[in-house]
Amino acid sequence: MREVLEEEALRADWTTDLRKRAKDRLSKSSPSEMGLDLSRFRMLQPRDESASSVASLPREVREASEAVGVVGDETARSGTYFQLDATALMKKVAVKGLEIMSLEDAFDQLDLKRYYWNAVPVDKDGFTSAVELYGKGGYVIVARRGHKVELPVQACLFMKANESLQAPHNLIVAEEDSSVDIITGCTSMPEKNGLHVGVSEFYVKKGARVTFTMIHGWTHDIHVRPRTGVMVEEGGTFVSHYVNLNPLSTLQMYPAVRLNGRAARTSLSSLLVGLGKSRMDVGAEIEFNAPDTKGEIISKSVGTGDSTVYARGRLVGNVDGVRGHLECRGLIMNPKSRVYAIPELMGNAMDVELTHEASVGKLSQDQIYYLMSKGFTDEEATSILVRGFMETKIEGIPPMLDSMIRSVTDIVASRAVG
Amino acid sequence: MLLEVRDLSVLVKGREILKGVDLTVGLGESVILMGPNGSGKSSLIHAIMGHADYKITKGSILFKGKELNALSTDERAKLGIGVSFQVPPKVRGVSLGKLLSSIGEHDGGQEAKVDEYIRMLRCEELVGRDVNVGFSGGEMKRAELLLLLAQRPSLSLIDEPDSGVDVDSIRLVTRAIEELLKPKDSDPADMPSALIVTHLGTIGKHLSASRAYIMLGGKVACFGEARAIVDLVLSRGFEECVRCSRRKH
Repeated sequence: MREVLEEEALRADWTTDLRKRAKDRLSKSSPSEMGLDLSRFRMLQPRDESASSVASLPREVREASEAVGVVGDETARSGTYFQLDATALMKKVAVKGLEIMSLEDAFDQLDLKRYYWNAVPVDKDGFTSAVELYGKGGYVIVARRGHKVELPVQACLFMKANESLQAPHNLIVAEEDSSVDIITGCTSMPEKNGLHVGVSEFYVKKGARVTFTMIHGWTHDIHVRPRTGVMVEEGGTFVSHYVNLNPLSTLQMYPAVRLNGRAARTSLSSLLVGLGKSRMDVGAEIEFNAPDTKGEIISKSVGTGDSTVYARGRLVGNVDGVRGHLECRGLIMNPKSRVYAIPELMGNAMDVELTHEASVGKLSQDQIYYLMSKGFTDEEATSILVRGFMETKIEGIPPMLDSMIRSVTDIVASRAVG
Repeated sequence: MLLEVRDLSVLVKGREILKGVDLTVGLGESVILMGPNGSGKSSLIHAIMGHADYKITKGSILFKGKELNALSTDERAKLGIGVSFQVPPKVRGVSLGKLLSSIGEHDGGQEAKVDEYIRMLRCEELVGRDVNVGFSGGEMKRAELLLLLAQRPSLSLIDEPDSGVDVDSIRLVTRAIEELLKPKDSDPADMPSALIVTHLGTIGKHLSASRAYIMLGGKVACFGEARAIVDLVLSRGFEECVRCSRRKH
């Protein structure tokens, strides 16, 4: 990688082994294995800058971040983290029982050993290794034991510099019986190319609840490689929803949720809209490692333009008494677009109930005729049906975020129809 | 005449489904269309509504004196034709309430009225649900008529409102059709009409229709005063019509 090959100081002594594993893995990662040549991208250093509020950010930055759900009205949020390239500009907390800081600060203030690279292996691939070796920033959000954080926490990862690598490492910890709703918006300035590799590790402790909404609004030449791992303990719940708003270059991600405690629950939904020439390979995995765990994956993909979307999903039942469902639906809007739905179910115990429904196809002519007979034009009928296809009920999301997801979905639907 | 179907022949996927149909519906008139399964009743409805699979090979359809043959389905709807489907498709992700308000936006909004219709058709529980997803037979018919009431067409094409429907729903369906036939507040001179397809004839006993047609094998086999025709079919079945039409030809 340009400008960054010199060794950096260790973050803490106990990370020595992690760095070694990362270095070994990265040295074995060729551009062909990774599908990208990391040497194309510059690693930026954090700058000595900060911002007092979202409203005080430059207009172009503020507007782009608003489009991915980051609100200027901070009274509607319990806290805000804002990272511009490698610089953590804002780390603000407005309520008790909640902590928000950058990863660098967390090394000084928290005992990170239990969380750092435990939900995602540091040497999972070249990208995770690069984050350990060259990553900058990332948010650490901790909901303290028993605290129900009422208003959502917002985080923004913003890429502005050209040909750069943004590689934050995020840690989210919901302690016992706490709950927190997080919305993360990721975006970049128009006509910049770059690589975004965000590692996110979630630790949902006994009886805790986390909802995580992620809105991506990248530009054409951005490559995106999020790496996410989630550990859910007894009676804990993790709900996530992902949506991408804009065309991008390539996106590949495969978040993995492990339900490790009895009666842990998860629901993972995503809306992938292949716009322009976007290439996306997105999946999700749930491992059922404890009895009475329940989980679902709902994946909706829409192919427009020349885009290609791979929508994967995998449910792995490792113990008796678990239930999982996978819904994988693809809608093809253009003869040049491709959608591949790849559902996988693995039962490693006898008493598992894992099911899936998958479908790929175009809008039904019968439905279009039906709506036209009610007075809607062909285009209006198509819009109504595409919006309907995208509708996903997200269990347990706060109304404020639900209505925001709805308006984002309206925008995506109108872009998909063209 | 509000609707005039003249010598209409229609191909669906290469098969001739309608073979020279003549049929009229006058202003303010309700007309019953009967016939056995596969006789072409629903096909006639979809040909009038302009389904893309229904190719007109001969004849014409006139509505308010204007030829419809080349118009798209939505253009026909905007001229004042509406249809209540026999088996409407499911529309996932779109609630009945949302569809009703979208129709309302088109028509400049009659929301107060729509709320009244929702109560009348006992659709309170249905408006929050996705259109036709998991609806029972009776619920589908009621929802279709509710949507039609929101549109208030000059001509309602109502396909089998009485099939797969319980007694209570029949009563609601009948009330809805009577409501559809009332003159519009906005234009009392515009007397709405209906063409009601029925396979069983049940609805024919509840409604005061003026005339009835019987279709057999893609043609009109018989037409006349509604009560007489409905009673004939209900007492003697369509076989009598088949024998009778053979005698005529």
